[in-house]
Amino acid sequence: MRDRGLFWTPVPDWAEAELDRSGLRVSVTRELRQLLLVSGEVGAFISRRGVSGVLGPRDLALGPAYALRLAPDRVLCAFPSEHPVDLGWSEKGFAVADVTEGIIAFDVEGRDALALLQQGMSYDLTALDSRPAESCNIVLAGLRVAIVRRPEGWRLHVERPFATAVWTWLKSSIAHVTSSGA
Amino acid sequence: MRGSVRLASGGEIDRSRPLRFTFDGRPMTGYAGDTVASALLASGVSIVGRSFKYHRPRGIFSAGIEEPNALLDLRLAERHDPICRATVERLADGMALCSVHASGTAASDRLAIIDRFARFIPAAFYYKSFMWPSWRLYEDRIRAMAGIGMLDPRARRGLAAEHHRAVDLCVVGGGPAGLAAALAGMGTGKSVLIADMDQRLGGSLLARDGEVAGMPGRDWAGDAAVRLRRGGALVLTQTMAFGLYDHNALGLVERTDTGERLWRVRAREIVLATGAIERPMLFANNDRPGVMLAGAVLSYLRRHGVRAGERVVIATANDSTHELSVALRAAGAEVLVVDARKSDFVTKVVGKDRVEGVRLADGTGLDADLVAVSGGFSPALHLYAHAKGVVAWSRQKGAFVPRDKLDGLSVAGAANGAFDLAAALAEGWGAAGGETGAAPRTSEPDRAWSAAPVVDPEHLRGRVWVDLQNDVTTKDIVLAHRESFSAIEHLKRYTTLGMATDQGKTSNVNGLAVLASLAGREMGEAGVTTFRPPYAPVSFVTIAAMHRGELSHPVRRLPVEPEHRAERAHFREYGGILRPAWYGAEEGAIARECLAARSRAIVFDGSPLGKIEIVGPDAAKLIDFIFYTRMSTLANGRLRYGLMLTEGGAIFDDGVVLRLAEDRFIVSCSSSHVPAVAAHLEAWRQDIFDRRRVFIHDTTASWATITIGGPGSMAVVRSLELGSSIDDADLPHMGFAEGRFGGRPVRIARVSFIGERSYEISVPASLGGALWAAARSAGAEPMGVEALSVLRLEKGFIIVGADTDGETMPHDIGFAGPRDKRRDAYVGDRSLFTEDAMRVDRRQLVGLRALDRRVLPPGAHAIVSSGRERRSIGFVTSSAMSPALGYPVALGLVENGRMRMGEVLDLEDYGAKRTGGSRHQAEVVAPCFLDGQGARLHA
Repeated sequence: MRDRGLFWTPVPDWAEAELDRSGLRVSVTRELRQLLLVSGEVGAFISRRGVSGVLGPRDLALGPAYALRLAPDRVLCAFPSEHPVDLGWSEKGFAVADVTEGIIAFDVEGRDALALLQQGMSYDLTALDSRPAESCNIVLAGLRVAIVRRPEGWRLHVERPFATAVWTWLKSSIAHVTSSGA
Repeated sequence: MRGSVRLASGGEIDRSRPLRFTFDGRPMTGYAGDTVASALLASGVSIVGRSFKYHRPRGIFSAGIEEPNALLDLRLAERHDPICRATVERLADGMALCSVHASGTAASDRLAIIDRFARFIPAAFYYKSFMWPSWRLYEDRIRAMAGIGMLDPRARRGLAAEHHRAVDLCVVGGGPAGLAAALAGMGTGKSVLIADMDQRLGGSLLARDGEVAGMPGRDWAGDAAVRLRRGGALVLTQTMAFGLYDHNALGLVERTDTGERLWRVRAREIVLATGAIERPMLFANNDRPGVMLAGAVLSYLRRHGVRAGERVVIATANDSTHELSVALRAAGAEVLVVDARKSDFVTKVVGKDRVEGVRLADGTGLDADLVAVSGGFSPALHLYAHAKGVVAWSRQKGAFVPRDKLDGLSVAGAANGAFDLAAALAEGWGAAGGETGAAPRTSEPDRAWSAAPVVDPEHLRGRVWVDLQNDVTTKDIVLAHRESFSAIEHLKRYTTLGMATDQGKTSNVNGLAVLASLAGREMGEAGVTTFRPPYAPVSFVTIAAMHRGELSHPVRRLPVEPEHRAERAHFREYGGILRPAWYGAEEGAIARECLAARSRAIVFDGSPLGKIEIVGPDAAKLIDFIFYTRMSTLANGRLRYGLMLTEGGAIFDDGVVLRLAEDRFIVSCSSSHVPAVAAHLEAWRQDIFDRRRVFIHDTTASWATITIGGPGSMAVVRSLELGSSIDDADLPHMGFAEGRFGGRPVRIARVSFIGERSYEISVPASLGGALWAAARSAGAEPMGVEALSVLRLEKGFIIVGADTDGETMPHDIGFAGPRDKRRDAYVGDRSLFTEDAMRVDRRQLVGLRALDRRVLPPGAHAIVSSGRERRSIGFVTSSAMSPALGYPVALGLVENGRMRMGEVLDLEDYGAKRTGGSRHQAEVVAPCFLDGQGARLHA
């Protein structure tokens, strides 16, 4: 029986993983120390943690800490440092789960970042108008990623089991990128 | 063709850059800027292929995507295209081209003799003649003869690129109407994408005379393209819009020097400026090489410097050919115009393998080497039809035109029946919201472009070809009509009119005209066939784009995969997850791992097991509703096994529930069912619970779960120093403890899927490798999924989906307690009391012990006979040789199985029928082969 381990690219060493070419750089985010999934009264949670508001996919995440809207009552909160948090239910009306270890985030930066992402994403990242109900969970190359705009490009939050697939896609697609996006 | 020559000057070609290529093995030369078709014409090639059915010689007929004849096999380096359309393919140095439907070469086809028997093989001949004794007897041979092109299984093409784009305005077609639309759209601040199949924008302006905005039309088109690019519009040349789908989604294929790119475009507005396709004229032998569409003759002359004939007859029914006759004369050709509007008709082409002359209606015979035909124009409304647009026949325009305006979609220019340049520019401009009165102007006079198809039975004697690609003649349509296949869709199936790669682009309207004439109906009454995507063939490779190989259906990966690879794991995909099947390359690895689990200690990667949190004040209510077994009675820090059901009462999944707190549960469901279970929980949460009081969080990916099992497992776990007592008093079977590993939290669950003492230890995913290594250092041996499957089978533990099917209910596998006792509502409850659910002959889970030492084939059916009647009463669901027991064991679902204990069943493996089949006998036993009392769980 064929060893399917030979077919699939081995999981990269995430500490070393990086793609670099003129106008485009993809790397594993190192600045996130805590990722929390929060449901319910998310406003009550994020206000206590110094996050200004909930972002949609068209919004710009300026600071190191941010909250991404995944569903009307669910956010993914990202922090540059780890703080103690009570997991589970809070009397304030929200539930918290720690998903720091379950997500690998990639930064896609450079002038061709948009052209690269548009190869796998039907969502219109060029439009800048914010739409209140939009989820940051978007399908890229057939896989779900939570995306947010950063000053230098975009950040993709990928479930760890599919991180290798997204990485393989990024690596394959980078060859097709042209500056014009055409 | 005899009079086909390359002119010394003119056209878009670069005569300083010769390109070498071969056609049917003959070396030839073209120039940069040539299409394959223009290079073949310039090289004097008249026959480029053979017809589909009768193997008649065929030449280049058009200059565009509508080409029915010039389909060639193309090889260039690693590229292989089995049906390249010569009229749109750019010539490249080193191309090897071959005709595709000839036995031998296009010029010398051994099967050309078939044409002599044409009268005996009219339309539907195959349907009528090859029925006895069976169509299957003839099918392979007929299909081999009928196919167009041959795939090369060795040919490979790399991943095609894929782009997504959302725009305000997408303009399909870069002719005058399309350019005007794009300019208007850009002028109003819209983001614009314009796509055209040609190498440059301009459409008809590239070959025809015409002035726009005070400059030659061709120059204006070039200037417009520059303005569009500078203004930020995305200009895609060599790009075909092949399909228009719901919500203004368009599929485009762009041809590049390195391959093809797929574009998925979503547009707020679409302007279809797709132009019109010239129609052939109907007369005998109108398929001879040398009969060409008039617009194509003009295009090759003006754009490629190729004069396709020396003595030219122009058979026309409209004004469009006037320009051609002037241009040909200027290029040194003799030209005679035969205008049907003056009751002047060509009735027949003379010549065996090419045009040698024509005969006119008055009996006059003329020498000729080229017949340029123009029977009117058919708007290209395929994309409009994809969007469910309805067309209507316009007598005034002599064409089908759009009947209705569709939301977000406009049709402009020739595609809308506006054939004059001024009208096309105005329509395009207006369709994109351009300012009234500001459309680009032209001084071109209006002409009489329109012409209804000319169908005069007096002039349709002989073999008059309607569909060149499918060898359909007027006689075939007459035959179909005579046999009552007179609805257009029936006619299409009966005669194959309008099928294959060109989908009737040059034949549909003429076919309809002939049918309407026979039926005595108006054109509009005959109906039209349905256009579906793609507009022209698109390769599967391009459609698949990046979704091939590893990127087709990516599997989930384990956090401990590097360690498994280092251990020489043999991987397989289980439920979309890449997991170690066993370790090492030696035969018997699975049995070795099974025995290790029964006698020593093993370590197994159970990371994909579900870790779905249910949190909130109503968590216990939700989990009780979801599970067949009541879970709210669980004490904090305890575990319980349970089943989840569908609303139909069938087993949906099983799993272990951990209660962490009054308002916090964790569901550890089957590895491959995690996404489905999470969605199931979320759906019910949103449907019937207070959405402010209970929430679902899937944290499966955050944890690595390493299972340590076997009689020696306790010692191994103890050596890991997890900071928590694992004594049986503190951590009994189905107990739970929390500890620390590597400074991080760790969860220890005392559960077992192998029937041995077992510990599921979950650590943050990044520590999974370290925990695995620690367990290995402590003496645990690695075990893969295959051994796990054998061990659980020995114990009779089911795998949902393998040992159950979509009908299996909990009482079928021996879990009847909750059904009998619970009074509260839960998913599937009422379905467990239906007449079907209460049947005594339901298939029930049983053990099967083979009477010999052969392993029962999974899927083998238990057969009972009653007289001559044989029927299946069940089947084997799981089966394996048990290394611990030394004999094969199996589980099965058998009608009324629990009442059959001790009965011997006859089993037949239909899967092996092709290789002679296999028959087996097995005794029905209890579905547990080892340690029925569960003593080993505590050993």
